[in-house]
Amino acid sequence: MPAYNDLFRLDGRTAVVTGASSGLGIVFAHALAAAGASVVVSARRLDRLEQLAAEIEREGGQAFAVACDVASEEDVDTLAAKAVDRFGKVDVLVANAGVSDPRPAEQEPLDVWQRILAVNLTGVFLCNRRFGALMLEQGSGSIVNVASVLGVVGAGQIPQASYTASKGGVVNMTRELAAQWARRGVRVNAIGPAWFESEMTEEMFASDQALRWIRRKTPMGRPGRGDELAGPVVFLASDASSYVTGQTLLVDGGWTVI
Amino acid sequence: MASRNPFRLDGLTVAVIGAGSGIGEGAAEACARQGARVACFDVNLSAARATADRIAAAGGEADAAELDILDPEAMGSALASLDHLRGVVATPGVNVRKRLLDYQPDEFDRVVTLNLRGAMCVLQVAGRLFTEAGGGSIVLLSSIRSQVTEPGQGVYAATKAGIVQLARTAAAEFGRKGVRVNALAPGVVDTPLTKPIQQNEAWNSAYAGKTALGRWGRSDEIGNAAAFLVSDASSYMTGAVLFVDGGWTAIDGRFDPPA
Repeated sequence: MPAYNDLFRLDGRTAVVTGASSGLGIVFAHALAAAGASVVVSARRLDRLEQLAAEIEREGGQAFAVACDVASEEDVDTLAAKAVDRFGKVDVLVANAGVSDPRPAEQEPLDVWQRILAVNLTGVFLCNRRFGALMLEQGSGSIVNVASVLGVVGAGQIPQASYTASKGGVVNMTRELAAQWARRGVRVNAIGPAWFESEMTEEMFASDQALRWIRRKTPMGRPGRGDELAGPVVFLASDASSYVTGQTLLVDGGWTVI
Repeated sequence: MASRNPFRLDGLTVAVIGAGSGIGEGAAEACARQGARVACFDVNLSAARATADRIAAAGGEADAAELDILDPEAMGSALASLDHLRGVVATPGVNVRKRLLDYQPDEFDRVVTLNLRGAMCVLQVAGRLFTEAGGGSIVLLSSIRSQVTEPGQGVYAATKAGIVQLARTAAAEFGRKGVRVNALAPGVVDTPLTKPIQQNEAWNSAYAGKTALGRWGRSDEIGNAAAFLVSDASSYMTGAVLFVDGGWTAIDGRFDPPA
């Protein structure tokens, strides 16, 4: 067959990944590089990013590390400027940076709520706005926001009103930005992971009880492996999903079907 | 880079039921492009053969056979005869556009039988085969009509919503056996079935305008999503509904205000 399977590839594209210093962000950075993209990895912790960038380069990819707190408008502007300076353009944004701080809502202090919303919702907006503007200028681009199953269902046993609110916000903001930008060449989608091992879920994965709960409640009978989010992200980033926009792809082993 | 490309389907067989035209044809071609050997099934054998021939002519691997999606016995032996079967994509469907007050019982039966019993048949036959084999991926065709409707689409919409819940239940029942079941929900797609609509200029542009992207989809764009859902790239996705609809369901497109 013709080399049309290249549709699933990202050769010649530049991708920016936020929250790339740990867990899923590292997986996304490797996956985008493996698909052929030059990758700008960003997070607050520069030392870890430089290690990741070096690793990607060792594997034959191209990577560049930029420190950025996505909740800071100035940092996001700097990230965009440095990305363009280094690679000339940005074709793909994976807005992955996120934090959580589970606790019962009746005991959730305002400053915790505000911090979670600042990173998970405002941070995603700031990155979408800045990189969306770049993409609109060039007339093409694909944004993948990392939402969560907790953007469409409640968390229940791991109470976190702020996190669920922020991810629900990302799901519908994704629809809205898709609607605003679709006819100018920019697609905006999200993924909604269920339970994956990451820095955020470290405690959970250390608990047998929590793991049993995940296995019992997930139709596939197991939590996700980090690399299982790579496919959906690359699919949405690539031209293989050219008619997909405004969607949140649930990658949840069936968590939300039952 | 060293890592294996999870989108590839080399060495695997994908059965596409309804491969003779439209979205089924697009799915067959997309899976072949990812390296799969494609078994093209259709109730219309010459159409299935034409798809297989096109795939072969482009350097892919495919063969064709006649199959009625409503014949579980024939489907059982057809699928059981395939080596390294990884995925089954089923696309056949029919629509009788008619308002509810005008719908005739035989029309209702025809739409529900092909769309819903056809999907059920695939779930039972492929579900049994895959759960026994310990793995596999099933892709059923839903539609944006599972979520949004319009006058004249009631019965079709009901079947497409029904397919979603069948797929989700199958995902719940088969998940622990390593079998994934997902639904693909296309928007308006350029296929032989929708040609009459596209030839009506007002209708054609109204539908294009209702999508966020402002255009109809192509069957290869739906096909690529099917290939993704069959492949390991979606190994933790089950019970999901993937809308490939140009943003149709992301927006309230009833009015397009001046910019």
